[in-house]
Amino acid sequence: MHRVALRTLAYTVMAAGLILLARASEVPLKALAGQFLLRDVWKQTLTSGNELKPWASADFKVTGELTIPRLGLSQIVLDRASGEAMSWSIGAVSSDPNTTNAIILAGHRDTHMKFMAKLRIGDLVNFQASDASIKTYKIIKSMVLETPQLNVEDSFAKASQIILTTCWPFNGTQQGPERYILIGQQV
Amino acid sequence: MKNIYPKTNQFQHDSVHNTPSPHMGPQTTHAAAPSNYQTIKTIFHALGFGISGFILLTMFAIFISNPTEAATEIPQVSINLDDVDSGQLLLRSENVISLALLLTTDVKVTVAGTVSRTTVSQRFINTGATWAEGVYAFPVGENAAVDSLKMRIGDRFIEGQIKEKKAAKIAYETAKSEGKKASLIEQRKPNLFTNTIANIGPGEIVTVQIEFQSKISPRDGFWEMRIPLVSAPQFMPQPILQHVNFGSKGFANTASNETLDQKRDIKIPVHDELINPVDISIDLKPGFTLGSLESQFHPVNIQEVSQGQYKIGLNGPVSSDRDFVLRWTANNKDVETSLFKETAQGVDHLLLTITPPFEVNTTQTPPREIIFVQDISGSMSGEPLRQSKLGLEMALQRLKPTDKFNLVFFDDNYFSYAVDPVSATAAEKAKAIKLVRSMQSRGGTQMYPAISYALSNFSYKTTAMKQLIFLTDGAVSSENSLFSLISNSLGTARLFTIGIGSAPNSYFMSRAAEIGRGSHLHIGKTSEISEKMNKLFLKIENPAVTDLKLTLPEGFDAEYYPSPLPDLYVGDPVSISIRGQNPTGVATLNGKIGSQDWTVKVPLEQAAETVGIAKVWARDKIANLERSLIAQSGNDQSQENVDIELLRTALSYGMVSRLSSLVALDVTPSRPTTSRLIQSKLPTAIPHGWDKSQFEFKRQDILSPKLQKIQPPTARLYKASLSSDSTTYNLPQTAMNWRNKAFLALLSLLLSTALLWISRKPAYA
Repeated sequence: MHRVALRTLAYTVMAAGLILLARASEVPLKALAGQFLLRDVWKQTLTSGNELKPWASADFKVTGELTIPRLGLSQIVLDRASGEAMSWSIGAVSSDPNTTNAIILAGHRDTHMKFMAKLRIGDLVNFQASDASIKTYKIIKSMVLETPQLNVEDSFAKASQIILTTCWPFNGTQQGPERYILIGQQV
Repeated sequence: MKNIYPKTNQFQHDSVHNTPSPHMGPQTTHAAAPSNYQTIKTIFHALGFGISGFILLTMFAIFISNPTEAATEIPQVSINLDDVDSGQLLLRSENVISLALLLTTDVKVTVAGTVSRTTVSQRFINTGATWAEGVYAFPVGENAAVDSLKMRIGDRFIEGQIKEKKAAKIAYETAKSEGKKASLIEQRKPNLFTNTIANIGPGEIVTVQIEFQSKISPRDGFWEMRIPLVSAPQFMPQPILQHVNFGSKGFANTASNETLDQKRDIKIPVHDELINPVDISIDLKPGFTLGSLESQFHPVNIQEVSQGQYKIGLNGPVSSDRDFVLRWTANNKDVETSLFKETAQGVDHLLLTITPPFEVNTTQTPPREIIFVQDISGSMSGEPLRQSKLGLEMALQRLKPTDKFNLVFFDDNYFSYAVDPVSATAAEKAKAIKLVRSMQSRGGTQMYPAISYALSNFSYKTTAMKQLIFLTDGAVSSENSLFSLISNSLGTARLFTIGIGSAPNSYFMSRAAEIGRGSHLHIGKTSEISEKMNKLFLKIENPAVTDLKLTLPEGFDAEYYPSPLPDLYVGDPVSISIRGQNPTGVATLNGKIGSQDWTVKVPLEQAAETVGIAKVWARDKIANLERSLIAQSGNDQSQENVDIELLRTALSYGMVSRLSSLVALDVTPSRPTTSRLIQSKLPTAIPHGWDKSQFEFKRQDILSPKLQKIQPPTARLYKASLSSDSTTYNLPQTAMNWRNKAFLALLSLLLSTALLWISRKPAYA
């Protein structure tokens, strides 16, 4: 009897573990698979010049591509930084061209923006917008914010900069208010 | 020798018992096991335990390391411009932000009808030992416009001049880089005016005088004017020093309070010593016969200077430890009309204020037909959806059985609760609430079909008040087609828009509400959604006056705003600003209360002269121009024309706007440069036209002996770098922590394996 109870418990725990595993693996799987799906849409965007939704039920559009030549990687950029969008790729915090010309991007520290840990001052970053224009930025500054509010001087924003943001610390296990910021100046 | 014995004992012990044990060593000695199968099985178990043990240890290590990390975090006090709720001067020197010590405050207010003009003069001292850059912040309240600035910093005098914004910035940057004192006012938040001051020396006294105009609206029959005074830093020998980490530029950062431990050492001011003394005087022209007039927290002198004009003052300066609140009511709560006039630039400006009948016969409130259009797209997921569902639920519960309602939910598609609006019976409400609760968010944001459906869903035969509530957090893509949809199919309905979060759709939403003749509500904080929604629903239950129209007398050619005139709700007055040459004759205001006609006739000659009315007109016109910009989106030429008109109005009336700001430049009366040493000993000359009582003083007269020890600077420092205009972005949470979840999953899999192993059938049964 004792053994039966134990076995039942064991299978229950196993089932819970499998469900949890499936849910956890959704994040990296989305992150990996998303790039393939989004990359197709991005190619269409570049040829047509219109920003497109990757699929009908998506609440975001593909708006650009971020490339880091030194690390040999690139990520598709989406037009908003909602939770839904960021589970697929990097999102743009500010996509309103009237308030600023600076590009402010946000991504998860454990998936799409993981590379920020490897970026160094002086690295070059390319951003291609949906009109196919490519701008190159040089990383000039890094900092850690203690609160998730980024104050950007308007005059500063107008000076063509790119701001990459992600959660800090990189290997943290809890969600927190700190943010890691890299600022790139157009070259 | 001692070491050997236990070892041998152990070995003997292990070899005696043949039962499997979790230790690795003995198991490998089981060479004589009954079968290969058994051996493999044993090895698997052993491996399993080895791995799980390792993972458990690692996890233990991780969990140990986390709490220590958390423990090193120092609790920090944050100093933020958003927290400023009374006039303050924030000083920044190196990485330290301090609040400048406030010496005195003087407030003069003129109230005429719905307009108040306030002059605030405040004196601060930089008690720090270093040069600092400062931000003067004053919460002027919503609908207020600062249009005058005068400052004295040490012995320099600075005055504000309205300039086109681009020019204003350059002037400020130039003055700053040249080491001159300069200051720049721009609109940062709707209710907080900030002004950056460069180069404030140690021990220097800063006197700031701002003038602003604001609207006073009665609430529940009360007219209220509030002067924020409460949180000024208290009189202390030392200012509050706060160490700040400037993660970025500006003030939105954390700080730790240094004086916490020193609190006990600070002498509590003697009873008769004033804390940040403040003096207040008010000139009140309510525009109607007063019912009551009282100061909420301060004893005051009230004097009727002439008929309908009152002077209110304090019995001498008081401590600035609580807000000053003045409240007054009208004698007759029914129709109240006031008319004020100011002639500026050779043209007459009128301000007509009408309060609709306060006591609306509630039994005759017409039934309503209300359709809620709710966004359930992916971006609404989480708190926004949860809160707006709550708000919706409360709104449904408030409906009367005579009301009709329908619900429309949309993402890429839309669906409605019922085919046609249904009566709000208890059963229907319960069913609808159940549906609301079951809503999940997904998909994109396609609002056009949903709004189109909702607008055609009203049953046009009924005389019921038709209200459409539209809630979204999404950006709007096809604004123009939506505008034309709304204006074409609105009919007699009213559109109320609720915008959620920071999505850049405020202009669309407010303009849509205006075309839809309703109102717009923007909710920035997700935690306030259900509360603010509830307030809006309460208000729109009882519209007082609809279909307002103003007819001006013949021969009086005038421009008036707002245009078109809005609906009025119980307790809301309507203010109409009119500009034209020689107003004579009788103007007529028509409207409807329920199904009854309502008319007010206003003889324009009877206007009372008051200052500030011209500025009210300019402000209303600028607001109207800003809104018309949205309607013309897509047409660059007409947008440019609107901008030109806006700037022209702002510059000729001296208004701070999107395109113009107040730049402050040095107006210090010049002195012969040859005799500087002698000149510096002469009393300071005050620029012409400045209020001497505020700007002329001797250091020793206004400073306590303690503070006189701080020496004003003798040399000028040329360095400044404080940001003047910035935008704050909220950065999203960017950690999924899927590794934690995966880790937990693996752990539970291991645990289940272990349980299975424990509960296995005995090997030799």
